[in-house]
Amino acid sequence: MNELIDLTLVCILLGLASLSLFTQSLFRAVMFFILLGLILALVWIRLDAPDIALAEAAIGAGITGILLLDALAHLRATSNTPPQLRQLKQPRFWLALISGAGVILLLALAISEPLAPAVALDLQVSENLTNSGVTHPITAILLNFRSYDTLLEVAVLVLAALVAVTLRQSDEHPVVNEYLPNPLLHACLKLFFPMIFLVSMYLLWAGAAQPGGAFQAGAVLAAAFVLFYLVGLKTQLAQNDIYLKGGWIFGLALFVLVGSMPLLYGQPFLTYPDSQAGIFILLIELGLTLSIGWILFSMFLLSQSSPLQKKDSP
Amino acid sequence: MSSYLIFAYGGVGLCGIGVFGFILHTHLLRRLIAFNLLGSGTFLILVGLSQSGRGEADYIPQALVLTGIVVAVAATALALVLIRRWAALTQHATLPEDQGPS
Repeated sequence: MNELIDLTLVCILLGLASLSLFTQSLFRAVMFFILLGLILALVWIRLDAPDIALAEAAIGAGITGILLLDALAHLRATSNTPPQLRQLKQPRFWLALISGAGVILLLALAISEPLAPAVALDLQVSENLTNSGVTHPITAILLNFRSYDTLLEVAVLVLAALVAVTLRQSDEHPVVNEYLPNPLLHACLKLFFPMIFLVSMYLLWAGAAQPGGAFQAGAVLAAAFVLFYLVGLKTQLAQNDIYLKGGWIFGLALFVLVGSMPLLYGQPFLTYPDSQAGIFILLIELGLTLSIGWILFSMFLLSQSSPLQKKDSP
Repeated sequence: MSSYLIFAYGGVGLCGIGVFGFILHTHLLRRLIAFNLLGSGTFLILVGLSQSGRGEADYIPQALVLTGIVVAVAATALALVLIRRWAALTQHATLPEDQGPS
């Protein structure tokens, strides 16, 4: 019975993947891709990974979907390449088919052999969990045992945002309808924003003991910012270069600062004292949530019509 | 066959479809979608395969995939900015070597 559900999910997954690549209209392709993200969230639930399911639904389907749709509208205005599938050339088709089939064959062969883990890392995780300051193993891994991963990951996010802002001073065609003049959305957002914020903070808080954490919370926050932007409540903060970039750096800076505090006591970088580890992790996660929300929102904002520089140089 | 392994094979399928689409298409946005499919397939293999060997949830690959998803969205956002810039400069959403003599 369970296998039936799994097989159905896999079939839907592969079907949606094919549709998102080979459907005629690019708009539909993006829609199928967003749907695929939602189905993937279900798959992660079946794989006993609720943390990834939350992240996939919020980041993979939500934020990526927003970015793709936004770019699609923009490409329609600027490029004269038809977004429809063109007449495909024969040699390219056969090359693609052979490569795709080859990848499937090789990977299927590779994973058909059962693998034995060389080092029992999970035992080490469960042994040290009591000293990590949190009770949820994934948060413990991300922010205590492997905190370098998370630190560098946030650095990657900041780097991507910096490159994006450098490229932005372009002659982009202004999108005429910049926001949705919808009074209902406007009123609803005012009602719902406290709730969205509460959900975000709850996800952050719950991350210590249950699925949740900074990334999911940051994505929810970013969605709230995007909604704000769409109804035309333009934040003055986003227009100011210092606040914009300061918001990106904030989480990373706090992480480095908190992480280097043990250095004062002769401990290595990013090793928290066992008794205060919980506070340290919560502090870092709060900074990360705000910064990740702000960076993801900026990524959406950066490609919008009014570059900052135009404000300064009339 | 455990349900973990089924999803690992599903990930294999996603990887194959992703590679197929990435080579086949010339439109950059479609290529980006194909690239994301390839990434999702990799994540599924990573978690599914490791858990099928143990028969229970394995938190270490899950944490790695969580990091991977966030990096993937950063890469996607960056690619979209590049594609837009390219389209604004050249009025094309394909690369010059793919545009053909038409």
